[in-house]
Amino acid sequence: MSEDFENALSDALDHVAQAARPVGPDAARIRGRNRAMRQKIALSAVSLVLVAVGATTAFTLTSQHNGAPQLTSTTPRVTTSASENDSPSTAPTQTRTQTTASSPASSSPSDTGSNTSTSQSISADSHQVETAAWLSASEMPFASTMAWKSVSSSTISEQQLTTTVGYVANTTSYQALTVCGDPSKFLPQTVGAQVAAFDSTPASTGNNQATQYVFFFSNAAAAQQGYNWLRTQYTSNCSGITSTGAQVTQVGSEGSTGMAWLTQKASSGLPDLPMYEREYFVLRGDTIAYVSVTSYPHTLAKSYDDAGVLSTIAGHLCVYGGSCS
Amino acid sequence: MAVGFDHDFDAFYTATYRKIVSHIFALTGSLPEAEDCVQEAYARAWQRWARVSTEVESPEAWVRTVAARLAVSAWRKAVNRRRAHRRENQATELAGMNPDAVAVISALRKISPDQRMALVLYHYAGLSIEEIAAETRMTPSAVKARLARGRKALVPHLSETADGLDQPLLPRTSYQSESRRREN
Repeated sequence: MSEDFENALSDALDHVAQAARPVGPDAARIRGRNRAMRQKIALSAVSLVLVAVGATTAFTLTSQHNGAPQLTSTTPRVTTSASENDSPSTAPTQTRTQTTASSPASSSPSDTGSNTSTSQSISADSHQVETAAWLSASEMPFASTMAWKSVSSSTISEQQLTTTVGYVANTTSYQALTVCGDPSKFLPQTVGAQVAAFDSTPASTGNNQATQYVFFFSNAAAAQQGYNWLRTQYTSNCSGITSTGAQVTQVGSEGSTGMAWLTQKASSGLPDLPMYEREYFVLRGDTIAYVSVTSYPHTLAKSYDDAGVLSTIAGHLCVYGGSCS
Repeated sequence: MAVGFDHDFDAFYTATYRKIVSHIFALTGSLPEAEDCVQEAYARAWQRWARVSTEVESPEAWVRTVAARLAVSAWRKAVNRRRAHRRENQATELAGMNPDAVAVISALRKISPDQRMALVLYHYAGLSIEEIAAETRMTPSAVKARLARGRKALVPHLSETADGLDQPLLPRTSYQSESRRREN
C-alpha cells in the first residue's frame, strides 16, 4: 500500500480533526434530552389521536337513530398540542383535517386541476394541515413503479403536525432543498412549510424517495415572488451542476404557475448524487407546492405525464385558492 | 444519571470527538455536516450511556457507526444531497491543508461512500479487516473486496500519491492496528 497515500490521508484528516469545533458534552446531553422529549410528545400526540378516534366512534355508535346504531364518516379533529419543547414560538399548536373544502383526491391526474371552486378555499396556515392539499401515494409520480409507502413525519421533520406531515420553519438551515436555488435564500421568503414523504416498496428497490412540500407565504403576491425567484434559479447549469456530469432540463410547464424539471446524473457523476430526480412546482394562492421523485440507483423514464402531475398537484393545492378553473 | 457517568461521558467525548469527526468528514466531505452527525451520535449515546459505556465493546466504534449511518441516511441525504456537487470544492475550503491532502480528499469524493468508509477505517483509523467487518456488519471477505475496489477506483483520481494503490492488500496484524490506533 502506498505510504504516500496513507500519509496524505493522515495529513488531511488530522487537519480536519484540528479544525473540528467540539460543541461539548453538555450540548450532546441537551440534544439527547430534547430528542427524548420530542419522541415522548410525538408518542403522546399519536395516543391522543387514537383516543379521539375511539371516542368519536363510540359516540356515534351509541347515538341511536330509529333504533339502530349509525356509523357516520365523522372526521376526527385533533386538538391536542404538538408543540416542540425546544422551539415553542414557532411550533405548531393545532392540526386539523379538511372538512370544509371538497377533496380533489382523484386517482386520475386528468380528472384534477379543474372545477375546484375558489369560493371554498381556506386561508393558508403553515401550522394547520389540510389533508386535501396532499397527494396520496398512488398520485405521486411513478407510483406504479415504486409502490410508494408513506414515511413517518418523525423521520423527515423535527416537528410533527400529523403522523405523516411535518413542519418546516422558515429558519431551518437546510443545506439544500431543490436541485437549483439556495434554500437559505428561499425559505426565509416563506412563513413556513410542511412536508410529507414516501419510500419505495419493496425495500429491495432501494433508496428511492418521493417528497411533497407545501411552502406558505404571507400573501399571494409574496407567493408569486417566491415562484418567480425559483424560476430564475432553474437553468440547465444551475450552481455549475454540469461540471459534475449532471443534466438539468425543463420537461413541463403549466403556464406561469407550474413547471417540471428533470435532473439526470451521467455515469461519471459524483457517487453522492442521485441518478434521477424529477421536480414539480405549482403556485396557487398563498402557497407553492413542490413535489420531487428521486432515485439513487435507477434512471427512470425520461418522458412522463408531467402535465397530468402538475394538474393533480394544482387540483390539491386549490384548497388554498388561486386560479383553479 | 449518576455523577460518575457524567464524568465518564465527558472524558469519552473529549477524547474521541475530533477523531470521529475526521472519520465522518472523509465520508461526507463536509465538516459542518460531519460535526452535526457526530454530535447527534453522541446525543444518542448519552440517551443510553449506561449500556453503551458498559455493554458495548467499543463506545467509540458505536458512536462512529451511528454517525456514519446518519451521514449516509437516505432522509438526511434527501435534505443535504443537492449540494453534493459542491462538496469537491468544500474540501479545499479548509485553510492550510497541503495540496496532496486536498487531492486525496477530493479523490475520495469520487468513489462510493461504502468504499470511502472502508478505506478510511483501514488506512487512517488503523482498524484491521476483522474489526471493520464487525463495525460495518459485513464479512471480512466483503471488506477486502470493498477495499480493493475502492483503491482501484481511487487510482485514476490520484497522481502523486497513487503509487502502489492498485497492489493487493498486505495483511495487517493486530499489532500494526494497535500501534496505528495509538498514533491517532
